[in-house]
Amino acid sequence: MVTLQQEEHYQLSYVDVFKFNMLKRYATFSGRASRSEYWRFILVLSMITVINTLIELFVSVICGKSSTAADVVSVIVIIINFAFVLPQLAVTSRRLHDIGKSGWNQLLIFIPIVGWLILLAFTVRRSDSGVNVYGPEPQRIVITKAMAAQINQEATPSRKEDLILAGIYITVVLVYWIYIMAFAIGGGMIAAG
Amino acid sequence: MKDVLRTTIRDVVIDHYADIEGTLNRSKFWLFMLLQTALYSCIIAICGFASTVPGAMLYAISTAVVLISVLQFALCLPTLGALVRRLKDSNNSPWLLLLALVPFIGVFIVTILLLLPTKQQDIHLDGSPAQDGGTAKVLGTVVVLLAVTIGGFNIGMDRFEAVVTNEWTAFTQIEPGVLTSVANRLVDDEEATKKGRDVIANYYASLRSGEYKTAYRSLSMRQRERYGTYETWQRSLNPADLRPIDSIDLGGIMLKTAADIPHITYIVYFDGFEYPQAVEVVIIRVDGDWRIENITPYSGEEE
Repeated sequence: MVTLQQEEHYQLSYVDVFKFNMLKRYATFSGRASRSEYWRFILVLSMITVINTLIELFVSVICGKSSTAADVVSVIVIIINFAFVLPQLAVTSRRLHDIGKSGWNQLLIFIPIVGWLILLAFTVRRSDSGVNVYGPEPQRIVITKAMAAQINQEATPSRKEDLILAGIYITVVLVYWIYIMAFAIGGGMIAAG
Repeated sequence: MKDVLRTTIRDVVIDHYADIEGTLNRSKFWLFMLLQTALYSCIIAICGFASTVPGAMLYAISTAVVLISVLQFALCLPTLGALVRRLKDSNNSPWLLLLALVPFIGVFIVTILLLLPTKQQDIHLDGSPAQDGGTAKVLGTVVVLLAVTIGGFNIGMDRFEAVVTNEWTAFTQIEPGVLTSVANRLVDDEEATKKGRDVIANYYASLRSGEYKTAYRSLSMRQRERYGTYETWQRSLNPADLRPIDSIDLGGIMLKTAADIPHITYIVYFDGFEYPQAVEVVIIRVDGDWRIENITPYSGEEE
């Protein structure tokens, strides 16, 4: 059983939760992670991935598709993606432990059409209250502004901050899809034969 | 009406996003379904009007497609939960939902099952008794949502149709428009479609004025090889090729060809009613010039 360190009691802000999961819990598959830790971390990872894709697109458009700059950026993006694999698997395992399920349930994502849906249903559930097989309940303490100075962590993001960041992420992803889809549709409309 | 909508959204989407425990009564369930379709119709209506902005047709269509897909993904878990809970409410097993897969009548059977009244007598986990919703309170909301759904969809689709027809006509006549610029961009040349049309016009003009050598020069290697020698080709020409031309329309762009060379297809309409009244001419780019690759009779498109 894992003993809870100080940070695991608090609901951390975006930067702190990113550092926490990438450095301190990089490949920790035991313990529990609440919804706040899981979804804020996934949001940060997804934002970074999306920004990487956009940077790669811009560089290939500005400097040319086969220039050295485009190659270097591609390699950096691949390295960053590899760096994110283990923490994502680890935090999903811990989120599943939080609702009393084994971390191996992640493999449900391989079921063809509905796998991701089942996993999504699991990751949005409320934490088991109290202690379960995998440990005591995590992330119960909200860091207010007053506490933030004392314990040297940023305050927990408010509901408004959460919504704004999620809104920005969704807008960026949608604009990207819409742009790509526009040319797919145009090409489809004029394709001959 | 706002209260009804707010309660529905809060109950079904926010509180029970991925919940299959408990029950759901008829009014909440059908309000939720109606709300979904009203949302989709709103998207279609707004994007339909947005597409009338010149140059925005493709972005409007893709916005509608992307937004509707994302909404479907986001709402599929609540919808599934609502379906399961509605069936439990009328004391039916949720597995009856699979009846929807039966070929023609499945969906109708499940819809009737979803319209059955509440039979459960117990109480929800939060202490509220399971009850059938009152019909009077929600009638106004239902009527408004129905009107939005039907009206929005029809208005949006009507606008889309008008814009697509205009853009397609501009495309075939090679006038400035969204599809023409996509076509030109696909073959990396802003004037490609115009140049192609000129090549074909000159080809037929040279045939009519007897300058066979000039016409022969605008054929590609493959087309020349079909006839072997210059004399064979000249003898293969018949009066059908010498008719005056009514119009040359742009047909389309073929990119997935064997050698990855872009092909542009034009449809040439001749005067009169002799067969073939129209021919499909395919041109390819050879050393920066456009040459005629293929000429086949054209009978009409299944648009």
